[in-house]
Amino acid sequence: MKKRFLALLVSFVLVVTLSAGCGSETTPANTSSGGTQDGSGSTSDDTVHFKEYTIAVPFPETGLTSFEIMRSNCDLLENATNGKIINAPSDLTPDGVLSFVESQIAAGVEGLIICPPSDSVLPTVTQLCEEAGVYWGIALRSISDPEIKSLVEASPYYVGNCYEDEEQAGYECGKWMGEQGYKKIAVISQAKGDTTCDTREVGLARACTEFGITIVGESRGHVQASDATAATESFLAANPDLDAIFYVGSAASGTHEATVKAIQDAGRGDDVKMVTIDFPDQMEANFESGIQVYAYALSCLTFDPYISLIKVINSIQGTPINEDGSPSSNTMSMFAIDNVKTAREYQTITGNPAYKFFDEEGVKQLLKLFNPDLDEVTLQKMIDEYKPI
Amino acid sequence: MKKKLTTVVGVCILPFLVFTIFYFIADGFGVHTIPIIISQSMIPTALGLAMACIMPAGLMDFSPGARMILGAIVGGLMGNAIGIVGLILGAFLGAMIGGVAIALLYRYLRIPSMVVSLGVVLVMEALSDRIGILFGRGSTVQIPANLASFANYPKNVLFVLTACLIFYYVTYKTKLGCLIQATGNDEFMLKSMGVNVDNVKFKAFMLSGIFCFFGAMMQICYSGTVQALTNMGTMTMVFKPMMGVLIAMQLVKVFDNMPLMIFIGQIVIQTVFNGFIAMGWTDNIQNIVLGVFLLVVMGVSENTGRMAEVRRRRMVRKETKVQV
Repeated sequence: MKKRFLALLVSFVLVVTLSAGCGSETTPANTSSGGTQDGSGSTSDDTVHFKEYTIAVPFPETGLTSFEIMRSNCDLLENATNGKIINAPSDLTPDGVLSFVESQIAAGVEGLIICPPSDSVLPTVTQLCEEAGVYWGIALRSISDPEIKSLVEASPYYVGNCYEDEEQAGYECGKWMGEQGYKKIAVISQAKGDTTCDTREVGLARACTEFGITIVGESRGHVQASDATAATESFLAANPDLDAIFYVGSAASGTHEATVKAIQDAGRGDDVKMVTIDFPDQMEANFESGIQVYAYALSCLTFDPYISLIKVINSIQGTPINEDGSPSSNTMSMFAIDNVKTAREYQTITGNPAYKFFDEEGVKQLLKLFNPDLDEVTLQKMIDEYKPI
Repeated sequence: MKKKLTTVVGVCILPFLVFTIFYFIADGFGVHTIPIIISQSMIPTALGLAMACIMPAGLMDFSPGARMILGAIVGGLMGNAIGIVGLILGAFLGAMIGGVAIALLYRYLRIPSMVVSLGVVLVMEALSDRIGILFGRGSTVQIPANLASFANYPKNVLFVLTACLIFYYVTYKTKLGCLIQATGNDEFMLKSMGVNVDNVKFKAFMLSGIFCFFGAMMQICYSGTVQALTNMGTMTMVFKPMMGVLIAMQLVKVFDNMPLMIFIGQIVIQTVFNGFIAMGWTDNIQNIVLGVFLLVVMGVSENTGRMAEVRRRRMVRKETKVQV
C-alpha cells in the first residue's frame, strides 16, 4: 500500500514538474494577416515565402503589461512570417541568461534574443549560438567592453542590438530632481553588476554632483512588491526630510505601486515624491496620487526587444538588415512624462496588453522580404519616426 | 525566581541594546522606527517558526519561502474569487501542499532533507508560476485593499502572536514537541528506545506548513501583491528568518522560550537593517556588516562555554600561584 502510494506521489510530482517546466508555447493568434495561407503552410503574399522558424524571447508571462504587449505583437509577427515566437523564463543574472540560451538551443530554436546583465556572458553566448547555428540579438543593452564587442560582432550569427542611452536617462532624472530643488533622495535599484542599472547610476551620480543631491539610502535586488514596501518604510522612517525615492530599475512586479502606497500610508505624500526610469503599469494612478511626478523611459519597454526580434527574423529568412550580414546597432530615444495628462495618454499604451507597435502593413515594412530597401539606416529612421501617440 | 527574572530581562535587553546603539550613532533612527521594525519582523518571524519546527530535529529545509509564496498565490487567487474566506482557505491549502509533499518525500525516499527541500523549492516555485498563469493574469497576483487590510500591520502582530502561541504549545506542552527536540539531541538513542524517528520528522515537516500559512497570509497582505519566483529565487527569502532562528537557538540556552527568542532574533536583525539604512550605508556594506554581525553573535554564543572554561582555568592558576 505504501509503495503504491509512493509511486502515485512521485508520478504526481513528475507530472507537475513537467507541466510547470514547459515554456509557454504560443499558438498563432487568430488575427488576420496581410498574406494568405497556402497549402505548404507558409504565408505568402503572392511571391513572398517565409521559412518556418522558432525564436525564443526572455519575457515570461509575469503579468507585466509591457510583456503582454510584447506577446500581442509577437502573435502578429508569427502570423505574418510563418513562425513561432515563444516566451521562456530567463532571470537577469549571468547564469540565468546562459541557462536560457542553452535550454532554448537544446529545444531547437532557430533564433533568440537576450538581455544580458553584463558583458561577461557574451563570449559564451556567441560560442554556443555559433556552434548551434542559431541567430541571436541583444535587446535593451549595448556592449561596453571593446574586446568582447569585437569578438561578438565578428560572429556571423550575431544580428545586432537595440539600446538606449542609459547613462543619459540617469542624468536626465537627476537633473530634473535637482531643478526641482530636491536635495535628499533614496535609490531603489537592481543588484550591483546589472549593466543597465549600473550605467543609469553613473548618470545619476553625475547629476547629483552637479546639483548637490545626496543619496541618503539605497535598497537593491527586490524580488517582491513587499520588499519595495519595506524599503520605502525604512527610508521614510530614517529620513524625515527625504525629498524623493528614485527607481533606477526594478524587475519585480508592482514595486512602484507599493512605494506609492507606502508613502501614502505614512502620510508623507505631500513632501516625498517618486521618480522612475521605466513607466510603471499603473502610471496614471501613480501620477494622479500626486506622488509620482516624473518618469523617463521608452514609450513601451518591449519596443526595443521587438526591433531586435525583427532583426533575428530577417536574418533567419536569409535577408539580414545589413546586406553584408554585419550586425546592426540601433538606438532608441527615451522621453519624459511629468504630468497627469501625458501619463493618462501613455497609459492607453502601457496599460493596454493588446497595443500594437505597428499594424500589418507597418510590420511588412520591417521585413526585407516585403521591403528590400530596409537597412540599418532606414530602420533607424523608422524607429526615430515611431510616435505611439 | 529572581535569577530567572534576571535572565529573561537580560535576554530581552538585547534588542534594546542594539536599538540604543543605532539611536545614538544614526541620525533619523529613533522611537518612530519601532513600528517599522515590528512590522517588518512579522513575516520573517512566521517563516522562522516554520524553520524552527524542523531545524531542532537536525534537519535542513530551504522550502518555507517557496511554500509561503505558493500559499500567497493560491490565497490571492481564491481571495479575488470568493473573498476573505477564499484568501484564508487558499493560503492554508497552498502552504500545506508543500508541507505534505516534503514530509512524504523525506519519509519514503530516505534522502537528505536538504536535497528534498531543494527539489521541493523547484517544484513549488514552478507550481506557483503555473497556477498564477492558468488562473490569474500572470505570475503576479494582486488583491484589493479591503482584502489586504485583513493581515497587514498592525493586525499581522496578532497573526504572529497566534502563531507563537501555537508553536509554544506544540513545542513545550505536547509529546511531539519533546520528541522533535530529542531527535535533534540524540537520534540514535531515541531509535534504540523504540521511538519512530522518521514519523517524528514527518510530523515536523507537516507542522511547519501551518506557520508557512501564517507567513503566506501576511506576505500577500503586506503590499497587496505577490509574484511567483523561479530559479530558486525564494531561497533568498529564508536567509533572514534562518539568521533569526540561529540567534534564537543560542538565546534559548539562556531562556527556554523558542518563539520569543525567534521574535527577539528577528527584531534584532530588522533593527540592524534599519539602522544601516538610517546611516545611509550602501547595500554592499550592509550585507558585509550583517554577515560579520552574524559571525560575531554565533561565534560568541557557540564559544561561551569555552570562554568560561578559559576564565576558570586562569582563576585556578592564579589561586595556585598565590598559594605557592
